[in-house]
Amino acid sequence: MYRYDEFDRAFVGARVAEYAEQVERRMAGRITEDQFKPLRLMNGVYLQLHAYMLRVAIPYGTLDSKQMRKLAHIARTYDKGYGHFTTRQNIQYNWPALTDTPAILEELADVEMHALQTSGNCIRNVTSDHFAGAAADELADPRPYCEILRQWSSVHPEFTYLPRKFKIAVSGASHDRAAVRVHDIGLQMREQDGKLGFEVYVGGGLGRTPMIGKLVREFLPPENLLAYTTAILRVYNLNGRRDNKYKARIKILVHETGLEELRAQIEAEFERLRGGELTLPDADISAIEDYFAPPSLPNRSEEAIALTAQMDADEAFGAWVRQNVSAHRHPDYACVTISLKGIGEAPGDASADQMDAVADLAQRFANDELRVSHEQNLALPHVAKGDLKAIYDGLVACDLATANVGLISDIIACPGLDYCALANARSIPVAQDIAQRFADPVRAVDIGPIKLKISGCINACGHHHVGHIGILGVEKKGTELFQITMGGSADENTSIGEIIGRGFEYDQLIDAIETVIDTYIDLRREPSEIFIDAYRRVGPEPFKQALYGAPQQAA
Amino acid sequence: MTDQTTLATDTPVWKDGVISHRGTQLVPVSEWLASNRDVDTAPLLEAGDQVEPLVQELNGDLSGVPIIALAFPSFADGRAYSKAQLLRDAHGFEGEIRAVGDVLPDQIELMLRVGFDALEATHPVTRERMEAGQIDQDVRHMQIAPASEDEKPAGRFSWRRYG
Repeated sequence: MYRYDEFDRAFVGARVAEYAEQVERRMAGRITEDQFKPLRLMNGVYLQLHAYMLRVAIPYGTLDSKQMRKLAHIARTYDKGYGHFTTRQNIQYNWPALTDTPAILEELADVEMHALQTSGNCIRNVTSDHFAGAAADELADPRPYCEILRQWSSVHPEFTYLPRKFKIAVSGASHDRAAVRVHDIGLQMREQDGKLGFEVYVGGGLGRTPMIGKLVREFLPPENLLAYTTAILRVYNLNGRRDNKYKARIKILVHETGLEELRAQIEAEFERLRGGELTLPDADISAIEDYFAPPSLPNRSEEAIALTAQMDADEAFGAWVRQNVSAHRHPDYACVTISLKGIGEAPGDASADQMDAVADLAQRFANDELRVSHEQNLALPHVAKGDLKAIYDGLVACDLATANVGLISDIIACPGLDYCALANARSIPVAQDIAQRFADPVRAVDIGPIKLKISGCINACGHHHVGHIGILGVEKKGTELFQITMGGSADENTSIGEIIGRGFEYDQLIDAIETVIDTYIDLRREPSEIFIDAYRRVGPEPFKQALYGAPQQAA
Repeated sequence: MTDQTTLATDTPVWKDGVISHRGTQLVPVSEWLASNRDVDTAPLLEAGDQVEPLVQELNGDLSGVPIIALAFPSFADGRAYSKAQLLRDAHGFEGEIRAVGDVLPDQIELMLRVGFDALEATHPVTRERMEAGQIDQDVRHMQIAPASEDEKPAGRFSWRRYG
């Protein structure tokens, strides 16, 4: 992974000092909360429902054991003993004191981490595939480009006061695990005439107005990555709407300008920049690639072959391997997902002790590498199949061995009304109740792969629009009401879910979800026809009938 | 909308570490183009004004314009950063680019890096810092610097600094 040099260290150090001075100025009343707001936001400090919240960047979700232990230490020392991993591969602390935040940032800087640009109207933490550099279906490791984009966008002088926040995601694999088509810029690596480059999508996003990113350029050579990205950002910064924050994202500019016209503007700006200082020579790219050199993975084929017998001997271990382990490019190795979706737990939460335990496992068995996934789980990207049992036993010991990755209880949920100042409804309790209802692992496996996502308001932080089943909490006449959407997806076949009908009150919601699931079980052609495929085949009608009765009876 | 205070001729202007009360009258760009463009006037681009109409009206030759002022109606409106960058890089403007309006002290570094070289700020803390000589012109950053700062090795991308 990337290592700071002297410059990076001094850069982050200077930012921490600057922020400490800003907090002092705020505490002394020298600046107003309004003036302090963009400054604290630049350092990841939000004001939530009950307290300040600090969001720490985990660039493209990659970290090592030392960094994970520091996150645990911060949770223990400055918070209530836990942290919350987010859909943007970051971690949030929900209860820090404002006056402690400069000290936390100093501690983070000790392990080459920061909270820069995790909020505010700037280029946010660049996200990526959590199995980058490891997955069997990968064309190339996207992280060197993520790192180049991170450095380029860090306190960018031109793009720090954009109309609205700006999110970039990069995927290097054929199966999109980074949801690139619902980002402001999505970069999908592909090959053309034997050369690597990017498909560029622009204007994807969720929130109040969900939109799928439009293909603005079919092939962008890596040397032009920064020139082209600068062109997009410049056109957006100059022309994006600033009159209404709900219409300020680039997706609205794409929509209102039209893709053809916007593409022409971007290409014109790109022509001016192409070949200039922003060009990335091969030497620069390979210098960064060196930081992401694949770990040495010696052949361990005999142990890999023995795995089947181990799985047969221990049923729970077998179930965990089948559910939480996926293919590595080296046949003797595997990618492990550590579920942060224990039945009845808050999705994405981990205690300080759990973080320490996972750090130990990564250090002992997994090349000291850890990942955070946008689905709010952790991952160990390089694990020898022969070490899976040891990892599993370690996870059992810290209550992180739930075998539910990709199943119905592997839910994405926003913090909702339990924490968030914007929320209209609870989402964590909904996730907990659904997980409880489908807690039987045999039933969950029978239901099969399904993406269930919950947002507590229309800002859609829980990505409900792209859930196979999405739940949106709204407020109606002073009570929570939950709308169900179906048919969404955030992979290479991205789609936006449709609202299935009128909403449900909290105490009817879990039954309604169960009705949807039972309907799917009845109508699927065979168990291998997964939920989203069945939905795409039959459409919403059978589900509407099951939920609301036959059409002629509907009011 | 123009904040009238930004147009007052007696507002102190910071440039290259020196404070002056110069008499240049900033005029909305459309008025300035329609006028006889006296030497003691300069065009002011409001946040909604683009750079291109000015450049086109002058047939691409900005050499006769001593100052171009770019308005910051609020600290959150970042359009002028792109305009300054365009004036320097795309249109080769070498005169003064002045930031006018709601400029927080924390933003000055960014302004200097995109090509601004003068400040006419309404924000009191910024004014105090200008007057106290506390404007730091030498800061660390990741990006390539504008052409005028090419000689600074620290202005390269961090992985190029030793190249």
